[in-house]
Amino acid sequence: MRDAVEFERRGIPAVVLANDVFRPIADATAELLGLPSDYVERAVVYLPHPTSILSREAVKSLIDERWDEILAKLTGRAALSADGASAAPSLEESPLELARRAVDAFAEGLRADGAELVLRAYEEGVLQAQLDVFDAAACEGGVCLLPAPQLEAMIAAFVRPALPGLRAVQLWDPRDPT
Amino acid sequence: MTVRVYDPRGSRRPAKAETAPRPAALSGATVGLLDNSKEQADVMLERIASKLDGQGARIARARKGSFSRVAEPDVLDQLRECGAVVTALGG
Repeated sequence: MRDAVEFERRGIPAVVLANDVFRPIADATAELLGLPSDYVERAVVYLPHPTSILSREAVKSLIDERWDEILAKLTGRAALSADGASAAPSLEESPLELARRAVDAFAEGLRADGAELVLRAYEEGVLQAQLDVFDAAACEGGVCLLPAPQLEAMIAAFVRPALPGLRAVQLWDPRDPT
Repeated sequence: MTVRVYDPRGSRRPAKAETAPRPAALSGATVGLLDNSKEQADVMLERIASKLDGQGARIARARKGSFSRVAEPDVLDQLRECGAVVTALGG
């Protein structure tokens, strides 16, 4: 748990695998370390004690049985927002769908300026997007819209919290089709 | 007979520890695996590594010399570029 605190302090979320003999003291340890009261529930995955006497295959099976839980806690799907509602994305959402959700409000602003932001694909950390200027009169032919490099930077800023593996945004901009 | 109980935790409470936001997806992210040297921790983490590969995540590994001590700074540094980490095995 102390290692988890060190990572969390460095901005790196942690999931802790622990034997269930740790369960009675996990909450007390989290409190001592100043962690939120729901941290154990959100971050600790328990395995039945003892694991040292098990075969390698049996240990792998324990992980397989808990993989959904491990994945959910790595990606915050086990978390609740402050008002108690689930803020976690669906298990079925693809990275592209997550990116679309992340830029939804930003896209609304572009729409008001007569341009539609379309996210086309997300592959190997690269998000491909397209800007369609559908109402030239709304923005003097797109003049009021930011240049493509700045739009790419803003899209990346919105998407990266949802997709930390994002390496680049490639925006096809009709104002500069090169 | 009077029984005096001493609470080793003391009366001071630590400052609140910040927790980091979790990534919504692991595709393209680097996930760190910290092995604390306990028996079978390596087997568990290797299984997780194979599962993470199926999620499109990259893997970074680190191992600390003693499960009873906090990871050394250079061990933590090995995983500094990670979007998330899994540690094994507590308890």
